[in-house]
Amino acid sequence: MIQVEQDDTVLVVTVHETRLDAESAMAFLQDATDAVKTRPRVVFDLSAVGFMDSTGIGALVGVTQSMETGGGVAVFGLTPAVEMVFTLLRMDMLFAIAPDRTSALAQVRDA
Amino acid sequence: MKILIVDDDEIIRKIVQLRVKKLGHDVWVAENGDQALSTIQETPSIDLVISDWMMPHMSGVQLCRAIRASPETQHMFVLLLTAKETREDYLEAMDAGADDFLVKPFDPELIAAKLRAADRILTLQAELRKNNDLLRRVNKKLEVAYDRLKRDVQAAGKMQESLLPKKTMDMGRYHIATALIPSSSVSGDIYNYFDLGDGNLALYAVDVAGHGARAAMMSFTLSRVITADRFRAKDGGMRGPRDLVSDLNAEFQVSPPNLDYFTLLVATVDAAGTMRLCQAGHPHPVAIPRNGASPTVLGGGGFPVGLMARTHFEETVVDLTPIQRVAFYSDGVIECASPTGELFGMDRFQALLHNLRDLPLPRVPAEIRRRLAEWRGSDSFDDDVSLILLETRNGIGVAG
Repeated sequence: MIQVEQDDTVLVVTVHETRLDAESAMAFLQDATDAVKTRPRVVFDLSAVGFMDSTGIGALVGVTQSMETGGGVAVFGLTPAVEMVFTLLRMDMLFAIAPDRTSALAQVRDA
Repeated sequence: MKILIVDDDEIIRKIVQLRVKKLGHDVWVAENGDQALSTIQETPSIDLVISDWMMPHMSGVQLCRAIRASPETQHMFVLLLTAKETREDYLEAMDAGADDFLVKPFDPELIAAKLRAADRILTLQAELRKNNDLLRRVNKKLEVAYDRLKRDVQAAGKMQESLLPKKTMDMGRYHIATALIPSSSVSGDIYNYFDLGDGNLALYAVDVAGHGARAAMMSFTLSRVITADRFRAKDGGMRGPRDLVSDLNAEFQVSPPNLDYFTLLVATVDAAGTMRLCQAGHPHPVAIPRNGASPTVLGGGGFPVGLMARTHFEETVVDLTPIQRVAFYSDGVIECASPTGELFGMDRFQALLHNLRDLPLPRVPAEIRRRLAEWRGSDSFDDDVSLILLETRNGIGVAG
């Protein structure tokens, strides 16, 4: 459900899940937490995620809270429905929201 | 294996008995079909029956049918001894349930090989039976657990309903109408409103993340924690919604972090018509203007409660003078999906509120419910839908 790759000093987590909701959130939380545990800089590619509910948001926040501190988190590839939820829940207070991979990587590298 | 040998010819019986015993099996013998049937009834643990085909009274094929007809014996392996039967005879015997045949005169190696094959099949069958029994038992347990879960969820739903305030309230110039449409799985929406005296009122709406009994318990807790007293400041005035939300955020931090958080909307309204609201992850309230213009959304979004400590919450101040109604609602309204998966959405909801602006307030929640059910094509919702409608009437009971 997730694919992980290292891009220089940043870990890129691509979420291969069309819906991040009650059904998929726990598995995502587990897999992604294991992947980011010792990393301070992480970028999430959410372009495949067409829908995210409160459980999905909780899982994403949970994952970022298990990261090594002192780095940064960015997300990119927000689909319209996900962007709406992110805006409503003011997720920009928690991570950088970038239009594409390049700028997401840049934001996190500078952090 | 436990093997029964059936033959009316004593010589053949002895020969077969000797061979089978030599292979290390336990042997029972019978002279005819009736004896065979009473032996296997007495000893149902017999695995395999070797029977002569041609016998007086009951043939080997008839015996085979009798073995297959009884649930206690039908799993036994049946080997028929044959001499010169025709193709049709074989077909009839197989139809009767015979598993294999041994041709006279006997080849000792062939007997050994056929018994080994029978043993393999019987072992597999026994395993299958065991696994089937296990599955049946597990299935039964699951059914019981599922029924209990369903009853728990129904009970949680009833409890959720019992926590809600009266559907409507009139308080001077302010009027409130509410509705909760519970989802099929209980989602933990809860709301309440309070008459704080001196023309002040407060209300809140909560949507707990997730579904089921866990969410319902959380909403139960919140309904007990968010009381009218929380809105009363020491100096006798009203506390701001932002302070209230910040307090709750600090109280509901869990460590280690998990997915138990909630979205919250808190609003206070004073007698002069000033509304303050704090939006913590809950959808934007919709304001319906008095002059018939299109509805607008209020609030600037906000972080949900319990997800992260030390979060900064914002407060929006709204003058209700030009506003006829404000709708507070959970995301179950805008995320209500049609059979093709299309969401009801903000635009449609705002248009609906606009179109219903002349309908008397107490009738609006039922009408919204009707429209949502129509959109969904069903009365059963995936997510709780909760609604609080606040109406202000100018010129009636306005102080000053």
